[in-house]
Amino acid sequence: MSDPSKPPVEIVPYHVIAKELGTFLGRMLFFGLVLGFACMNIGWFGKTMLQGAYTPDLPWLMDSGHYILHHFTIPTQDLYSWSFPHKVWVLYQWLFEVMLALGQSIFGAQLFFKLFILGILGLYFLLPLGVAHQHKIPFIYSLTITTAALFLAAINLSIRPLIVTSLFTAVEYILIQRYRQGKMSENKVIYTTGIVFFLWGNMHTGVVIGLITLIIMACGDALERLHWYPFSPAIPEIEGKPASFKFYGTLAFIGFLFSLVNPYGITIYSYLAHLSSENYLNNIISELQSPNFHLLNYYYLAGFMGLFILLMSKAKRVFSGQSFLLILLFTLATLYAQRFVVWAALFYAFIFPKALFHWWTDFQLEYPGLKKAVLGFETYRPLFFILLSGATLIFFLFPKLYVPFKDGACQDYIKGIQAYEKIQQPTDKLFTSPTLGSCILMVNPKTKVFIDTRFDFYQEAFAKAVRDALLLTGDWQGFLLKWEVNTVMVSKKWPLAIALSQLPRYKIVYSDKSMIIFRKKTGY
Amino acid sequence: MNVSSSESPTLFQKESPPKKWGKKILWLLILGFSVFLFIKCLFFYGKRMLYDSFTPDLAWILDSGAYILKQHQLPRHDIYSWTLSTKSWVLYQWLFEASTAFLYKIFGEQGILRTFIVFVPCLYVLFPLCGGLPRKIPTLLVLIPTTLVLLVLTVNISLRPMIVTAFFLALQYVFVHRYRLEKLSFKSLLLLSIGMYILWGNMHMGVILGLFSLLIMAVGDFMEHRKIYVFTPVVPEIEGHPQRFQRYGILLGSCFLASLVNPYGFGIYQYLTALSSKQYLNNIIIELQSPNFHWDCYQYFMGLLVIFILLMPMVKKVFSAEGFLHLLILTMCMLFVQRFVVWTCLFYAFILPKALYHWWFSLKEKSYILKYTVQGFETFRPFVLLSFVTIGFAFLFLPQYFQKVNYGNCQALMNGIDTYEHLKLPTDKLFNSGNIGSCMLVHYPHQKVFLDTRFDFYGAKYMSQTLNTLMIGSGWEQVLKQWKINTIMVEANTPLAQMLYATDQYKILYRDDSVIILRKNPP
Repeated sequence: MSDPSKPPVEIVPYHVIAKELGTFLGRMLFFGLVLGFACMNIGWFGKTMLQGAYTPDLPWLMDSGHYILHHFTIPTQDLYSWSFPHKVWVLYQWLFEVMLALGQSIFGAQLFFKLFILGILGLYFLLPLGVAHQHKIPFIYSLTITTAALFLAAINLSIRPLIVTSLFTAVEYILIQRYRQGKMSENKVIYTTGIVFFLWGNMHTGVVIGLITLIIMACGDALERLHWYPFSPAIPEIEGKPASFKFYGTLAFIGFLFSLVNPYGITIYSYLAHLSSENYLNNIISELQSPNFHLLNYYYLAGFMGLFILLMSKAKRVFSGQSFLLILLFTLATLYAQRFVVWAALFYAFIFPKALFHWWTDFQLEYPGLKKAVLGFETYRPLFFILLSGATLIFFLFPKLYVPFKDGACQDYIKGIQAYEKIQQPTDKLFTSPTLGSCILMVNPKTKVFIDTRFDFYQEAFAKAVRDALLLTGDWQGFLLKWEVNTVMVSKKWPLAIALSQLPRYKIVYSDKSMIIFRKKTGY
Repeated sequence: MNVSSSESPTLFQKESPPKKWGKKILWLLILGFSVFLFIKCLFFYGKRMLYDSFTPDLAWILDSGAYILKQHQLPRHDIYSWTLSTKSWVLYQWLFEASTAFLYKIFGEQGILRTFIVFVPCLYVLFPLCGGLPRKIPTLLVLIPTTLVLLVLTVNISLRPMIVTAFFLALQYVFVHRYRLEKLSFKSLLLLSIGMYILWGNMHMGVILGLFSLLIMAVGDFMEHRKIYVFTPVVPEIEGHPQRFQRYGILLGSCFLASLVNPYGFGIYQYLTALSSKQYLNNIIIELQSPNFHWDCYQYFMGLLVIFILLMPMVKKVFSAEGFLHLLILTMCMLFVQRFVVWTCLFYAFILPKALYHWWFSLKEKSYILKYTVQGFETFRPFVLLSFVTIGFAFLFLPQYFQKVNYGNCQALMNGIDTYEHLKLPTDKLFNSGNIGSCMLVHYPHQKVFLDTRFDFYGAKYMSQTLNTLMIGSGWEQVLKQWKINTIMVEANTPLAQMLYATDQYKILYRDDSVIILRKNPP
């Protein structure tokens, strides 16, 4: 007889236990995969940045910043070339260069570099994650999307002024979203926009992206207001209400006006228009080409495109008019010129978590199992941040463990450039490739170069002639004669290096596995 | 909104145009502009193809075909190079080569190229318009995507075996859809498919794409059957019913077996796998790279992509599961490998008109201009078809009124090649680039070359050595020494030519803007 005071012992059948265990293990595996994916993305991002953040542009960016700090004036003529010493040089990104120089002076190159990487992590990952957290978007969505966007953007992120455009685009987007949600007054948005565009206009010509973004958002909201795009979001409070065309008009006007408060005024826009019209440059600068989907980062772009197409099936529940237009147009722009990937990825990081949240809100009603799985992942949020903080601490506290690839693309040439310093003669008229020119400036900014990576300064015709000479196309010998070149320093990969080694009138004065230096023999 | 077949639109019934004058003028303007655009697109296509339909590959395709017709057997070893003459050569597309050579015999060089130029719009525009798609679909809704497709195609279409894959893919798609519409029995579909795959397996390795497309259809129909994808088309009678997975299984198995009826059997699949794994070749062949959206053709493709994306909010009303999967997967494939553009566009040409029709049908009552423009365009249908046929016939049978189809990339090289024929010595050991090698075979098939555009035959190692030599990269001197090269014929701007010219080791035999011929000076 059983004791009636004791509750009956419930015997759970084995198959129920097995099912529970299976569900538990399946969920753990799924969570592990998501966490692994996120960590892998951040790891890849770190690796890419350690190797690629330092570009050949950095030496002249830094040095011109130091020049401005030292002389309290913006150079009006070129500082670095012997080919165009009196040519006017437009430093439309002067304020960014000053900030770089300041950063380097205060923190030192190594620490500044690491802080910069942390800054990018903050902009592409932590900021969208924070915004998503405010909207109570499940962690699983925001984490997956933001880390994937971070890795995608890493393909073209480096210490260059375009990061300023990413930062201000993010600020602009957040400001407008807060206004749409009624969390910020119109005046505050307008004042802040003025300040943002003032800084932007002095730091990068990408300020035009800011104006375009404003127009896109205005069009998106107009579509909603006119009911051409009847957006009925699953969670209305995270989207806010479409703003008026007048509001965007004011913003664009203020933004444009404040962007003109720079040393060159409206010229920054005409300069950009002129640059865009230089077809040859657009065809040889790799970041202006279409993306190569054979690269791992662009697999992610394909993934985002696929996700966009799939989510478009619920477009009017998940994408506001402006979100749809921003994703569509920035994706198309990226297909055209891969430079846009950094801004497309930024919008992916802000918009896709919201879109997935809307989709999930509708979908979870049909699939309660999915709801459990998504919400279950919330418990991993602290664990993830502990891991991330740990990795960040190690990154900063153990400098030898994560050494930035300080010399970047110049790594292989440093030894040769230093060797040239020793054999340099005052009569030298040195011919180099653009990359080597910039690398020389890294080793010694006082050396005058033939060309460096400031293609916009040297302009199309000259850049083409140099490239032709390096590839032995066109009248390359005539070009060298015209500039009275008597010393040539090139990477061994260029056909010019082989050709000169076969010509009796040149002698090799230095050679290593990567580069070679020729000097013209006397009498030729 | 679903409609029964009795409610479906009849395009031939007279629709009264807008009555107000302003609206009438707008309507007429839109119609006139559409017809003008269509004719303009045809001319744009024709102009491009006069240059692009001929590729350097055609020379060895025609010549090997002629060899097969003459010898009644496939060549086992290479017949074109003097360097690898004993290497075995797999002619997995032998039937295409033989057929092309046969047609060449009948129509001549210009005739075959002109036929090809006319055939492509027939496949991509006329076929969907007349029989490939249900007649219910208004002409304008077929013409919009198909003419866009025609513009995109010019980027990579030429008289090569890939056109066979495009043709058979279109046939397969139409056959399966007729089966879905119950207009074709399974037995007939099976027999037609088997016959088609026997031919396909002997004409192009793209046969694998046919199997892949069948698999996509099977998965799509499976999704609809299992209600994973609930497709409720606006006009159901143009879509038919999803078919069982087992049926597709039988079809796939039979087609696969039929494709093995070729001289190399399963070898064609092994060969394809081996080729795909050769990273070096994949990296140097331009058509295996991602598309360059700076080119206008790919910008037109963006237009197609945007139409696809804009139709997505109505996905379950406008795209069947297999239609959606075809567009999604093939678009992704094209982003990775631009060669897919020819086949991706084909599916755009067959799927988008149907989707646009569903969309239009659900909207037409809301927008009079949309309704009358699309329906009004039907009056132009005879004119469109007539102009299409007239231009095609005139192009084929009155060639004197049209520009001659030229040798494309070979055109500029021909003077140099002809000159070399007079200058060559029996002791010459000729080094040449791939393009020049193939272009030489156009007029001089007996000339032995160092390299031509059969990159898969030459292999990655040989190709990398040759390209390095052309760019005077590592080991270039060894290659010239190893093959005892004494004559060089390359494009004039090639670094190798420029360097040898500057060093006096070689003397110039001939030079123009495109070609340079050098002969080694005696020691």
